[in-house]
Amino acid sequence: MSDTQALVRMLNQIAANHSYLDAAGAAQATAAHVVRFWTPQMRADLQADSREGLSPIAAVAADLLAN
Amino acid sequence: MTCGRALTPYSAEAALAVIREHAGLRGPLLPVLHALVKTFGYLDPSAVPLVAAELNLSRADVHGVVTFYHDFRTTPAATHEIRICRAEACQSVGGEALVASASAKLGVPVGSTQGPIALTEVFCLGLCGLAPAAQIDGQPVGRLDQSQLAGLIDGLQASTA
Amino acid sequence: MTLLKEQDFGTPAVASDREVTVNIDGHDVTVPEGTSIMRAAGLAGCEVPKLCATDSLKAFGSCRLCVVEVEGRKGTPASCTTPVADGMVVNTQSEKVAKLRRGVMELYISDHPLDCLTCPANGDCELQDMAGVVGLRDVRYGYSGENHFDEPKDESNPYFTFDPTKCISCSRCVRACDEVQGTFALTIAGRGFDSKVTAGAGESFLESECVSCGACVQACPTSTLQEKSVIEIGMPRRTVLTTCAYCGVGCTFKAELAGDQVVRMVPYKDGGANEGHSCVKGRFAWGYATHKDRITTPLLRESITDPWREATWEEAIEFSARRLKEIQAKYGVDSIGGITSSRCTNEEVFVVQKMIRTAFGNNNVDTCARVCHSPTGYGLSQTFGTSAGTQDFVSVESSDVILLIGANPTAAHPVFASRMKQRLRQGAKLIVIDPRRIDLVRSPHVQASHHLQLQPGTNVAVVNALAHVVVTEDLVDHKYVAERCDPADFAMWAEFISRPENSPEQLEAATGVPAAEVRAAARLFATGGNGAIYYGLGVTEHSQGSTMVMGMANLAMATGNIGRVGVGVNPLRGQNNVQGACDMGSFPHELPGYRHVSDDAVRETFESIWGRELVSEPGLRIPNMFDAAVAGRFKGMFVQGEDIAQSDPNTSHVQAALGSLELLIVQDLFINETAAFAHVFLPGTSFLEKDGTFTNAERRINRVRPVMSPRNGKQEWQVVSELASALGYPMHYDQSSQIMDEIAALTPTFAGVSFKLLDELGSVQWPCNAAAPEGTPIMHVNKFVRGLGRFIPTPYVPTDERANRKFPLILTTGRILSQYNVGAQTRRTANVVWHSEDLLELHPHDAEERGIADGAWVNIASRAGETAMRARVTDRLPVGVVYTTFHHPISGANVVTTDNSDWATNCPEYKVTAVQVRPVTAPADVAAALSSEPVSAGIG
Repeated sequence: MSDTQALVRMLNQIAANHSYLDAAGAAQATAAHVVRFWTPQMRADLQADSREGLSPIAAVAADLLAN
Repeated sequence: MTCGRALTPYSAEAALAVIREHAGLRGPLLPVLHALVKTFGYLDPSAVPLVAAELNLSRADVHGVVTFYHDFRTTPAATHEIRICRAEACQSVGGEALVASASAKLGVPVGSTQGPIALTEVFCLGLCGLAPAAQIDGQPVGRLDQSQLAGLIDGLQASTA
Repeated sequence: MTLLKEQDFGTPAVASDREVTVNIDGHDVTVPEGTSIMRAAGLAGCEVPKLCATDSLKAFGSCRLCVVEVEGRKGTPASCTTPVADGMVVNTQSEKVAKLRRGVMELYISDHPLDCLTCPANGDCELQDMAGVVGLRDVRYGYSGENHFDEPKDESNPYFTFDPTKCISCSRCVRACDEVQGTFALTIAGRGFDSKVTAGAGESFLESECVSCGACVQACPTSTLQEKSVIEIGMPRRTVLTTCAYCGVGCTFKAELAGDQVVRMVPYKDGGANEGHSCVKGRFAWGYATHKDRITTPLLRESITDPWREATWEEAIEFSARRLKEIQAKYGVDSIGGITSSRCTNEEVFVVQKMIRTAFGNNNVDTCARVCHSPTGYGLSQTFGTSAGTQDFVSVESSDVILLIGANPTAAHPVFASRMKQRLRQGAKLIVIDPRRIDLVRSPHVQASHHLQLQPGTNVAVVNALAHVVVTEDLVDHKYVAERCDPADFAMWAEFISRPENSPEQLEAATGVPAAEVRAAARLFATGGNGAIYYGLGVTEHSQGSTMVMGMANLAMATGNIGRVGVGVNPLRGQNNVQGACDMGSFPHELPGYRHVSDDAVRETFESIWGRELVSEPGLRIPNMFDAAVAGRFKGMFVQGEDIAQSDPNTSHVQAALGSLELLIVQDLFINETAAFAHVFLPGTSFLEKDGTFTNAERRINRVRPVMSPRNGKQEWQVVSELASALGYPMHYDQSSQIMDEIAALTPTFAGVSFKLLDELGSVQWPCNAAAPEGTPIMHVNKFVRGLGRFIPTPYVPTDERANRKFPLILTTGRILSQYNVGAQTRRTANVVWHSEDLLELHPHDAEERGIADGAWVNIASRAGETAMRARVTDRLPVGVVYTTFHHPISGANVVTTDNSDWATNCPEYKVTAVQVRPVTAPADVAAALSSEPVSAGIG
């Protein structure tokens, strides 16, 4: 699995585990988790990639992280 | 001893059935062991791990109890058993001589448990008032003398011939 | 110190609210009601002669040596079985009892070899002592009567000998195996003169149920059960108190030495975690420390295809520093990082993470907790505010219902398991949640009330179902929740967990656990009294490991089971210092004391003491390090005491990552699978040479004291200090106590800790600071560390790893008693007699379907790789699940494990791998499956 494929998978997993929240809340929680635990390089790699393969919540989280 | 009682040939399946029948009792180990001896005439050593597993004890637990009691014999029993008391009261009225003559007549040493007739000793049957005392196939006998003993032995030998 | 022998008070301590005062030989002594005369006498300094009594065991009353006279009472009662009464007056010595005691000794000695001077127990024999104490002069029975001098020895156990000729049938060994260890492997066979200590049903010790814990050897007053090392070497002359380096129980040992040679390791009675007990590994398997495979000189090579060459420390440090700097110049400051060891001391770990943050200039530091209990760290800090267990081990003595999830303590934490079994035999109830029928489900004298035998990967579903029952059947401890927990969080969670999709009935198909069983177990836990949860890697090593930890925390809070003795959420931490390694800030996102690197105030404290600006962004976790290495961006690594090439999942990926590094520095005891990829090998120290502290699963900080000087010439923290200095960050300590002082200065939860305090108190459980100067046995007593406990909903997200046509079985992994983790230590000891190879366990149905016989060779394949090992057919597993261990590199179980991991922490999903198993008929197939000859094969 390539580096970015792994990141996509991880992001989807984090999002899925926040499914008890509403969509906005889940996306926010996912983004917050990434900021807390991912290196800047990993976050940059995620942004450099297309949003392909991301679940809906994960895609919103990725957008939140872009800012 | 079996005293002509019908015994079941030993098998693990049969043993398990016996064990399970009594396993629900409170303090089941002794009743289970008694039942196994009664059914098969003796406790096959391979039954020890079966008993342990069913009662959730260790093999050591079961082995310790089995080896403590003489009646939990681990080899097939004789058909008949003559058990003579050698405690002090019976000794004082000639018990030892009875032991000697039984041993001579049967041609086996005291403590022998194989063969058609086992000859064993016991220390006090609680029949001191009727000494010398003995058990013949589990039946207590009091005021035993040489000729009565010889007659009993003849009877047993005839039945096993 | 000179040889330490703790006083033996004869019978165990008794707890009571009432006290009584008795007079013994003219001395008044006040003791708890229920104390035996013997113990009271010992406390008053008037020891009574004894043989069958020892204070780790209940009184037995068989030897009749301890008879005393009690004023106003007839006869001569045994002081071990007689409790004191208020106002009692006791004489432990009189002509009458002296005569009786001499008589007893005469009987013993009439059937005992008189070879004291050449006997291995000479100098440490209670029979010898008692003969002296009672004034035995002659034995009127002579020595030519019936005796036991012809009994053969049993030398089957690799570590101790059983010599029945010396036995006095005191039964201490049998009782130790029963009462302390809980294995019941020994008995007295026969009766009267023929009484004989026997293992199993008349088996040798090795064949019997004995697990070689050595409690019987320790309890034996004569040379009957004797350590082979004592037989070989002789009696020890001095003691060093130290801590075991195997598991997270952290037993305190007396290392008993002759010079700097260890003669034997004896558990210390006042050990906070173990109170005088141990397992086979700690007590006997320490020989690896002086094994011939130990590397004691630094090794260097330019390329990993070159052979190793020996080097001086200066060369090795210079080479390492220069190459690390070159790599950073070429690839960037984030292109290097390191891993701290969970087996090394707190001090050694602290300096490695300090070096990485200062000298490397990044936060690329991680530790092996990543692959075991990182979800514990995440889950418990989210819900309670602290990432550690809530209790001490003694707490289990007050538990009424024990919920054991994904752990096998009789194998992995044996001394704690013995304690748990003591409590279970007293009547506490046990619920086991595990795909395997572990020993605790049913073994002599212990039986679980419920075994929820779930499908691997469905933990969260089961814990949700349990919580669903608690909430919907109104078994919640509302008073507790209202006082102690956040009400909004609770309301959200209660609504979530009450949904029908979280009911036992709806989850039955996924979990494989009958709904009725789940309901019964939930009711038992919620209403059975003190409920305590104990768990292990069967919880954490899953794609929802963190979720499961939170699920258990939710259950504990809902039932009011946090904040006092007898309850709690207890992670059974695997390694001797994995708790400590985490505490010491070995995580890429946290500084020591679990504070996020982005916290400016915290970072400034460190910056001011360390004199360097620190990075505020998280660094790489171990799995991310491997991914970055394969991507060409991570090029240099310092690995302290961890064999990632054997222990981490998805071996081919790890090998690819390590192979791509331009510099790998390994600091370890032996050449291992990881060292095959290294350019620098820095020899480390074993626990027998270390001077520092380990922190166990109870948060208990124990001292590790050196027994011998470092065989490699340097302490590991000295090596790391020199490397940091060579990299441009001057680091120097004169002794390791200074490192602990620095830790205390920087970490509020450790503020009160110092070597001096530890010498005084023996050990201390953190937090230890002004608020708790003697440490903290139970956490969250009045409130949670984060204030109010936080309920967090835990949706069940099934793992991606499912059985399919190609890989129809699920592989789960675990540990066994005699071997430890990758086996680097235990494979180099006699423990290999018990587990010389890893085996694949499978259910008879699955075996039959494939034509696999017990003991046959099989190939196991997953989408990650394949390997071969021999099969063991057993019904301990459910149909469809197979199991193996990871102790031997030659079978390399991790070749088949995958890169799936926990969503929050990337803890690998070792416990769920879809595999196929097929019989392997020809040896050639086996060789093909074993891809490369492991470096350390053939050891032991």
